[in-house]
Amino acid sequence: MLGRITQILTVGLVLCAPAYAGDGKFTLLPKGAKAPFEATCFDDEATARLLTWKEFLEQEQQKLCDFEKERLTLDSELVIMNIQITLDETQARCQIEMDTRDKEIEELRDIIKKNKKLNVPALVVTSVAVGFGIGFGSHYIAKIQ
Amino acid sequence: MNAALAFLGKYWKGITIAVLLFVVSFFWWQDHRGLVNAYDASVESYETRIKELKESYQRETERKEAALKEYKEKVFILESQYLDFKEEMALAKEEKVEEYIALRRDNPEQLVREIESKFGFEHVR
Repeated sequence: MLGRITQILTVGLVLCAPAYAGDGKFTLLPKGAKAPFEATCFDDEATARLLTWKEFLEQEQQKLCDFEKERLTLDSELVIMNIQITLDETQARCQIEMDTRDKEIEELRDIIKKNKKLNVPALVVTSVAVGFGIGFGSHYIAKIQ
Repeated sequence: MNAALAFLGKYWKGITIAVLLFVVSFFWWQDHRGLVNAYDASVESYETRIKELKESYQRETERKEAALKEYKEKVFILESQYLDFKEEMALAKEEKVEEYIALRRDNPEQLVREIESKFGFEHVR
C-alpha cells in the first residue's frame, strides 16, 4: 500500500509542470466595465499611491539608511570618547600616584640623611666615658687646688 | 671658681649621670623627631594623592557628562532633520498622488507608460 502511494507521488511530482509567474498585466477600465482577465481592481487613488510609493521608495530608504548610519556613528563616537576619557584620566591618576610617591620617597630620604641611625650602645658607652672624663677631670683639678 | 670646682669634685657622679641622660635624651628626641617627620611626610603624601585623585574622578565625570550632552544634541539635530525630511516626503507624495490622479483623467496613455516603466507590467487593451 505504502509503495503504491510512493509511486503515485513520484509520478505526480515528475509530471507536474513548474508554475511560472509572469510580469503581470493591467488595464485601464471606465466605471462599470468588465475586466478582460481575473483581476484585483484598484481605484485611481490607490493606483496613484502605488506609483508614488514606488517612485519615492529608493529615496526614502536611502535617507533612512543614512539616518541609521549617522546615528550608529554618533553612538560609536560616544563610546570611543568615553573610553578615551577613561584612558586619559587613568593615565593622569597613575601619574599622580607616581609623582606623590616619588615626592614622599624623596622626603623620607632627606629625613634619613638628616637622622643617621642611632647606635644606642655606642652612645651609652661614649656618654659614660665623657661623663666619667668630666667627673674625674673636675675631681682632679679640685684636688690640685 | 674654687667653689665650682669643689662642687664638681663633690658631685661628679651625679653630674656624669646627668650628662649621660641629657645626651641619650637628645639623641632619642632627634630620632623621634625623624620618625614624626617621616609620618608627617607620609600623611601629606596621602592627602595630596587623595585630593588629586578626587579631582581626577570629578574631571572624568564632568568630561563624560559633556560628551553625553554633546551626543544628545547631535542626535536631536539628526532626528529633527530626519523628521523634517519625512514631512517633506509626505507632502511631496501627496502632491504626486494628486498628479497621478489628474494624469489618469487627462492623459491615460502617459499613466500607462508610467505603470509599464515602474512595474514592468503588460498593458492589456
